[in-house]
Amino acid sequence: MLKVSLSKRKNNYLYTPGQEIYFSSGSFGWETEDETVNVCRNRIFVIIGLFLFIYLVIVIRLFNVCLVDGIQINREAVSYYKPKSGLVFPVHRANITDRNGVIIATNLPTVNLFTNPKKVSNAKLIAKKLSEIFPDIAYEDFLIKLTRRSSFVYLKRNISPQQQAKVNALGFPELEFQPSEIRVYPQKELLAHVLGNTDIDNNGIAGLEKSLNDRLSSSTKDLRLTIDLGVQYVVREELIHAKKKFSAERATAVLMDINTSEIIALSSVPDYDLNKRDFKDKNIKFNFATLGVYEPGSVFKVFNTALGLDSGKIKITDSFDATKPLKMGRHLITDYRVPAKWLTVGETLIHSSNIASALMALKVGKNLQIKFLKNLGLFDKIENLEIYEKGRPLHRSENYWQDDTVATTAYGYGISVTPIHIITAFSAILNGGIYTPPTLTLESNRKSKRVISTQTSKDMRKLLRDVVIYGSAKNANIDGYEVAGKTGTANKLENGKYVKGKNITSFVAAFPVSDPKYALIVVLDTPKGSKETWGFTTSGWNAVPTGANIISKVAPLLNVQPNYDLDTQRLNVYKSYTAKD
Amino acid sequence: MSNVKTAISILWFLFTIVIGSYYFVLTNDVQNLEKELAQINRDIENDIRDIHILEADWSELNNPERLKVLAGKYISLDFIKPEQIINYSALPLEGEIFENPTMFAKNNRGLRLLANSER
Repeated sequence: MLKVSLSKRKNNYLYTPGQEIYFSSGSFGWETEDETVNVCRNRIFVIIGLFLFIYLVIVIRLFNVCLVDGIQINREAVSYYKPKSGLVFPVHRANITDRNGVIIATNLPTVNLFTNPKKVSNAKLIAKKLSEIFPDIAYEDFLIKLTRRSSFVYLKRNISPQQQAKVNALGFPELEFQPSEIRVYPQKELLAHVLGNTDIDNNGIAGLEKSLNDRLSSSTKDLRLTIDLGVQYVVREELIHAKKKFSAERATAVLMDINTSEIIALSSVPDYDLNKRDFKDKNIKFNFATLGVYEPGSVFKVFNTALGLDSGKIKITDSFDATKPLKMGRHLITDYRVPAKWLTVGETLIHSSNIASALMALKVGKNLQIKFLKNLGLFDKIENLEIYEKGRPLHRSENYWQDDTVATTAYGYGISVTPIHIITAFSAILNGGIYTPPTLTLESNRKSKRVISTQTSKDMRKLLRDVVIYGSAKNANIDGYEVAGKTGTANKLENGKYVKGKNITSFVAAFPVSDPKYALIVVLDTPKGSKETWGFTTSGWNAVPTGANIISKVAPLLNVQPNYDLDTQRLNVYKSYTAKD
Repeated sequence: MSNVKTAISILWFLFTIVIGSYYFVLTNDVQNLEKELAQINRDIENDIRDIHILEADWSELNNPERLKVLAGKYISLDFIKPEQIINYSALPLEGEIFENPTMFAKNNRGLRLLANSER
């Protein structure tokens, strides 16, 4: 070919670049000069067209990429970053705060460490390095996860930013992070039984977290509780102290706004740190305040007396024969350290006479008693209360509610309710006669109803104040706070039998009784006698002092003005001056 | 005529180029602004997240038990007792002498009571 091209022969139809083309006529019919020019021109046009087409394609594609696609991508980007209303909240479960806005439960953003075991190349090395970063997980556990036959496995959930940085620094591309959230409780044990808990996927599994799961997971607006954190702390501290001092199995207390039935403090010990999710002792998860159904004993005399007075069948001046035990069928109703004499209504409460109370109830009768207790919500679960763990009262069916039941119910036996039932009903008796279902959140809608007359309520205040001044609750007579209340000591039922020496003691109180603002119930399960209590295990020796301590500490926090005369106040001023010297 | 046609064509061509260029520049500007907005929103979200975490931290620092320990350690504060709360009218008047309770008690029934009880 080189030879041909170098030979410069004409008409060999092979031209080297730049060689002048010589058009001959004759050998081929179409090779005239005009035709040759046409062919060239056509070829040039075809090439120009081809290039134009390519340029056009490029221009269209450029236009597409720069403007059309760009706008589309941008729209998606904008819709991703643009907040729906305001800005995107960093977590997906609402905070829970106390009534003053202090956070008691919140979600914090964390990351989960995961991998695709199929992509893991050096499982042993990765497992070794990870077990160094996470000492709580063994090397073997990581190795099992890393060699699992699946395409997704969590290596560790909810890791801290420091741990994330360390894992990142390892430089293994197989280890990936996924944004996640963890529920934390900054106040630890303080509200354990109220809040409950969530599982690892942030779904409520107990307490308010469970019952209000939909509300908490559907909105990021804070859920405000009626609880006051400072008061809650005092109540819990006093309960822990009382439980230890009286060697009780459990202790619980509920403090309630007497007029609105908002629960200011609710504590039940033993309790647990909400941030530690694995519990060996399931017993500590029992919320005695709302779930603990027990026979309350003499605190029921408050309801019995209110019923008697409100029904009009008993006058405050009436007396009842407590000189001898009362025989009711198989039962013999006796009194504990009560003077054997005729007792007035006031004395019945002061001395806590079972006999007189039973006589009072028998005079009122079965139907009114059942209706009254139902009205006070003592027959049903408290549906309105937001907490998940709620106890259903145990009582005899109405068909079997005979005279012996009427008599025993009068002093709190044969019917079992929870502390929250008692405190709510007690509030209704002392607040002027209005029953309002209890609540734990400031968002609740409740309906109140009248259960007794204002006059009966006033009479009850006076009678219960006398119990504190002269009766079994003397230890709760704190200067200035005008406490009114009633004690109750009931034999503990274990496996259907009353155990001698084992009591559940209760104390219900309201303060200041001239214009009641708060109601309190303290319950101790199986307190033991000590030197200090002279071996006694009745309420007046354990539940009452506990209640008194709580009241004297929380009343100033709740802005309750102590109400005592100016002379005593001046004495206090003088004492405080001289004490300084 | 053909000159006019050519002029109009050139004008249209120029016009198209101007509009096209303007559209391109505008789109570019909008894209940049949107990027900036997205960045600002991301920054705000990060700030909100940081504040959220700090609020949780603040709540933990305000744990009543911790505050009680701190108050006991640094300012020796304790719970208020009922007798520490008095009415304004129970405060001593100016010139009332506390050093000599018997003198003061002459005009004050409360301190008379105290004087009696101490006697």
